[in-house]
Amino acid sequence: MNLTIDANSPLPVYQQIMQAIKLEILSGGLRDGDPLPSIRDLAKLLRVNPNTVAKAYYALEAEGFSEGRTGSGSRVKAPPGRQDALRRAMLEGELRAFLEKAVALGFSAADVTKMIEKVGQ
Amino acid sequence: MSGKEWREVGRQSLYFLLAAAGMVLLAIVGDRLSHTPISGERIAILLGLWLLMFSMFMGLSPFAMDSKQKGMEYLLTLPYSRRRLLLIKLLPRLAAVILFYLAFAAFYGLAGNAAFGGGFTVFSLTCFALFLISFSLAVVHENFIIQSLWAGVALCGYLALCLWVCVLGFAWKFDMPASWIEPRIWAGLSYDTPTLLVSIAVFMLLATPFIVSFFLAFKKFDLKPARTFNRRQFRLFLPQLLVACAVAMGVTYLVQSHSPGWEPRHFLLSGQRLLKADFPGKLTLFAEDGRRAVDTKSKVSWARLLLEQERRLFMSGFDRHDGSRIIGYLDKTDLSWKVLHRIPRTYAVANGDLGIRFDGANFVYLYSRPTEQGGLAEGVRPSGAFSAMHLVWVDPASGQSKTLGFQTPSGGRNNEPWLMGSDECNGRRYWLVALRGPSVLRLWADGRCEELGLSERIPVYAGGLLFTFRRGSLVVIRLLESGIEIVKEIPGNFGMGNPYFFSLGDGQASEVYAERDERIVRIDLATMSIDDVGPARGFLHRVPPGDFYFVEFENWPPQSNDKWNKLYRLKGGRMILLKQFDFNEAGHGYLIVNANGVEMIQSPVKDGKVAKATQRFFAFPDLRELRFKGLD
Amino acid sequence: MNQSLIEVHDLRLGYTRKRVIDGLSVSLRRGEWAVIAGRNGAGKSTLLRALAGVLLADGGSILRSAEATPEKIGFISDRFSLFEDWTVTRAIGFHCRAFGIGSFDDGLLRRVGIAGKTRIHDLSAGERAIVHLSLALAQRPSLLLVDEVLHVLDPFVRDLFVGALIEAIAVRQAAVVTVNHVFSEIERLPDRVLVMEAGRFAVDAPPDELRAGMKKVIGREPLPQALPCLFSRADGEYKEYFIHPFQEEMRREHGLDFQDVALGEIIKAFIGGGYERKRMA
Repeated sequence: MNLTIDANSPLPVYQQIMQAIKLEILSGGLRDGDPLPSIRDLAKLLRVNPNTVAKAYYALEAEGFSEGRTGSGSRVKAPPGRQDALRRAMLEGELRAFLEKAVALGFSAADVTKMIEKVGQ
Repeated sequence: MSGKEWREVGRQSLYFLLAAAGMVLLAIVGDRLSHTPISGERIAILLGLWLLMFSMFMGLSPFAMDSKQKGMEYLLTLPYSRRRLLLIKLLPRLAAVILFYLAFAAFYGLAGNAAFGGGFTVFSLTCFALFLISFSLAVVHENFIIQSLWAGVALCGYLALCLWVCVLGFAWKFDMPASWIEPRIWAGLSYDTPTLLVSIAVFMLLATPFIVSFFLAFKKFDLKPARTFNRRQFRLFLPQLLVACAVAMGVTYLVQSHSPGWEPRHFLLSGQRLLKADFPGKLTLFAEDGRRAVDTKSKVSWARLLLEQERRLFMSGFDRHDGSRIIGYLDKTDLSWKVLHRIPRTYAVANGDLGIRFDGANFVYLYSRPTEQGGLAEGVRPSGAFSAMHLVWVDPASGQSKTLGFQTPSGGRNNEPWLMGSDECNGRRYWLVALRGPSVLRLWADGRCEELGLSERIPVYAGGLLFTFRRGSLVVIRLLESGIEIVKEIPGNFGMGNPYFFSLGDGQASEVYAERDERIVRIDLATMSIDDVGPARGFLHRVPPGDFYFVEFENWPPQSNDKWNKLYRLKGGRMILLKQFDFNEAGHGYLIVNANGVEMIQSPVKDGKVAKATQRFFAFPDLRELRFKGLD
Repeated sequence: MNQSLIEVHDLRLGYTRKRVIDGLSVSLRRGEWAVIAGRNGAGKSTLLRALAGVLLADGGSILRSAEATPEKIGFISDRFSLFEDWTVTRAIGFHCRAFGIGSFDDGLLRRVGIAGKTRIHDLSAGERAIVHLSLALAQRPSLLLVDEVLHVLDPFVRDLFVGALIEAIAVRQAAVVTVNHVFSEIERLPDRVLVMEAGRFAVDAPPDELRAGMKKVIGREPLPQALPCLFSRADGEYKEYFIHPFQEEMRREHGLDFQDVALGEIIKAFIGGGYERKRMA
């Protein structure tokens, strides 16, 4: 599992944890039925408040990415059908943030598309 | 936690013990080197002082170690209430002090019980008071030296306060000047049980505010600067101290009311009458057909009957109101009461009550060391305060007095001068004074002072002759206008009865009686011949003006289970049995013989305790027992 | 999580002349990590000592719940108060007896390499911190009070220390109160930031809320009057403005470059070093 937390990111820590776990799930690092790390271990590992981890786990459970008792023995719940939609949703989110910055810098949507194609090649 | 404290106290005690052992060892070695015998008393004093130090250290130190080891904050985070914390601190230290005290008491009892002038009670009380006071100052300051200074100041204040409360309590109770009581209280501690109880109670009561205020203030003890704590403790301490003072004074007042020593006194008078003198200042004149009381409205405790005249009864007493001694008289007919002469409190009267004598014409007494200046009458030679002896005579009729100052040759060592005789020579009066030392002085009314010689014991003046005692002989001296003439030296070990009950002059006597080598002998003053009278199994009584009586005891020396005393009159070389006095019960019984009769005093012993004394009175000439209604 | 462990109400506490805490109220709950910040001498340590029961209030009240009995309060003071000439073993034995502790976990001591027979006065500051932490954790505390000790620890020991605190929260739902000046290490840890000023808390908020509610603007132009400026700082031509309370709508309305502010900087601003305060919070 590869989890990183950026202390300077404006994104709240629990959301960063959620993102990281979602990423793990989507990238196949965590599969359906795998146990999530305990709150205690993850908090110590990431040097974050256990409450924050717990909050992230609650949110993940609410969004349907895990099940079981929070804190001890949560398991990943990742039905294959949902993965694609999720992947798209995440990309869309990233893209939107990126476009906002591009607009702020004065680029139009066409400029951005061109640039993507150029970088893509 | 308590384990830590016990261990700490144990270690500190061990250090102190080693130090004490070293000290004692040094003292012993010192004694050895100077070839003086090892003195248990000196070691007891050393150890006593050491014990006081130990008490103070134990009291002051409970938090010293913790704060030195930076553990105070940790101590307060422990899950103990402040009270428990304090108890944990107190108990081992109290135990150590008690243990050491007991060890010291044992040593004191075995080896050095003369140390501290016998004031072991005061020492013990001080020891524990010092501990408690020190303990209550355990957090007064971070610095141990300043803490000790505080403890010293507190102890001094405490002791002064104890004394002050006792004195004020007594002064209140008996309406006496406080300054008069002060020296008597500490003396009273060693033998007077109520005084001892009072002082223990006062010591305890006045130590309470220290320790209680500390316990109460300690409930809010924390790491704030000591000043905050001290202020809180002081605010608690002050009202408690006031209450304690009040209670202590009340205790002094109450307990002392049952004190002995204020018993009424009885004086057998002529005409088969009796004078009972109660404190304060109440006089009752008893006759067999009734009694008459007079309240003198004064705080006088009567000491002696000085002289009985046709109408007047002269008495000396102690005025507890202002501490002065007085000579006064009661008019037997109209029961009026008058103070004739007053001796200020600051005058040290030689031999106190006994020292006021009647010389046939005047009352006379000696005093020395007046602490006030200007108390002397006119015409007195100025004299150095230390070598001077002052003689005062008081005219019984008018109360006028005159003071004479004498420059004595003893260089100021006028030890307990005792007025033992008075006479006239060519119309000039002189007084004889025995000094403990013992030498005899003749003081002339014109201010001259003459040294007459030495005597082994207080001499006797009778029939115009001076009887001085030497080892193995009695020397009879005639006093000339200047100097002396030895009349006769009689071999033998002589005694002439208690000199304190002799009158000053009985110039007309023709015989005197004395004890010589366990026999009673008669000395004929005209011929100086000695006649044997009988065995001396008792006491010789000389009753002014010149009568001699002898009290024979069932056992000689007397015992507490004596059943009788026999009273003899000595006259013309014969012992005339006057009466056998039977004691009702076993106990301490004795007779007091005076010119008017005999007072028989019995103190029955029941269950090993001496019960209250009872008096019976027998009047001359037939020694009939007098019964007075309402005497008890 | 919402049970109140300790309720402080209108606390007043001072030394002989100086009142250090003046009307402070706060409530601490189980499982939360609160960081107390403030200037030197603001009364942070005094408050901690008051919570630990080492100092007693002059006024107001400190109500401890049944879970916050003295046995269950672990206090790590910056004085590292222990009996100096004791060995570590003796100190542990004493502590366990005093607090009625059955078993003592010496894992931390072993990891740092503190031998039992070492005397307390021979320990370094960091080692003392670990000893005190071990003692406090042995109490199975419901409340851990940690004075400014983190900064004296080396990174390895600090890591152990912080890890142990995290574990205490995670495993035992302990409340942790730390006093900190340096935030880089624990930026993401606290649930709650408390800034002390003039004897009470000027700020009491979750860090996320603080970060979201405060943005800064740097520029040469004076700030529009409509924006709520809490602090400002001038440095040459440029000025730095701290906007508080910040709301997202402001971005659209003013088109300024609202930048995020790190927690440390926010606290620094509140503490007041070098900033001009425009308005009381």
